[in-house]
Amino acid sequence: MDSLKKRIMYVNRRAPYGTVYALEALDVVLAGAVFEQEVSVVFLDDGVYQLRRGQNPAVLNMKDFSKTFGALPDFDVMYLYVDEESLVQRGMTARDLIEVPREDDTDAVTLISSTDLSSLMDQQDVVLQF
Amino acid sequence: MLHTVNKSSSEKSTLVSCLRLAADDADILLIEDAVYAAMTGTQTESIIQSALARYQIYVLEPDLECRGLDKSRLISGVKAVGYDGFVELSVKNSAVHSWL
Amino acid sequence: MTLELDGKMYPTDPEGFLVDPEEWSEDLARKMAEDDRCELGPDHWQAIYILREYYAQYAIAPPIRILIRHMGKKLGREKANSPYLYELFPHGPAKQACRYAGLPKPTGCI
Repeated sequence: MDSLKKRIMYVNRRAPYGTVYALEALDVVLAGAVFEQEVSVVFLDDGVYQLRRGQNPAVLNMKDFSKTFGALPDFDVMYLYVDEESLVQRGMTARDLIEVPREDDTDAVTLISSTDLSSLMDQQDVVLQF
Repeated sequence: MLHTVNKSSSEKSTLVSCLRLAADDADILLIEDAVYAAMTGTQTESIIQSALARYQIYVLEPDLECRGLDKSRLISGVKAVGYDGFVELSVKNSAVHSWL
Repeated sequence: MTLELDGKMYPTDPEGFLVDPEEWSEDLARKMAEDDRCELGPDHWQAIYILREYYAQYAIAPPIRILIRHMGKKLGREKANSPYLYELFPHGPAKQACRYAGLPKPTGCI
């Protein structure tokens, strides 16, 4: 069975709210979860802003979809990789990010180095960028 | 003239072009995804720092709050304004140039 | 489309889901159930409140598979299976229960 599983990586490179990419990507990840593939989600470049703590889009009458990342482990998405380099470029650290607890209370939000991200990307069957 | 910029400076060159071309007495207002540029510690911070010598730079507060950005971490010299401030800037300036 | 209750109109989508989850009340849920000729008992309310809590936390309506998993954590296995939920909500558990709970329609599921 496992050999039929594909490794799918979703790469988020856009900030939330200003454009619809971030929200659309999340919809695709949620819808794709029914196929029970091996899924990881990566936050790269401005995509790291999507995981920023303390968002309050209600002031602009928009939905706070940063809450939805918290549901991803239940959808069997166990890794939300954050490109460390992109964080540094934006003056952010892990403390600026939301936490996404898995069932065992570990955090699905995982900082990753360029080297590790590069090899992880290379191992995928499918990479989709938003 | 009031220039508004709505694109992230780490993704598009909009802010750089705006600051290259805006006249010396212009007001610059950062809105939507451009508000990230007003924060300290980003790679594009120096762009805003040097522009502050020439322009008054504003940032729209509801767009900061939406994105979880704390006013205490704004680059010093950048002023946060609400929608009322946006309106005042539009009235004060004879024209508005919306960079897209 | 709209749903009328006590002279007030509540906007809904074509399938009867509330446009604004904030407008929800128990009376609205009762009204929707009544229109379906369904009576809400304690087990229905339990499911409805679990769904509202889920939405408040995650800002989405869960698909059935996720709902079952989530209810398993909250209520134990006897109340976390699809026959149990189908008995409560014969029109399709996730869809009917989400509608009564004032949530948007869950994506791609029953």
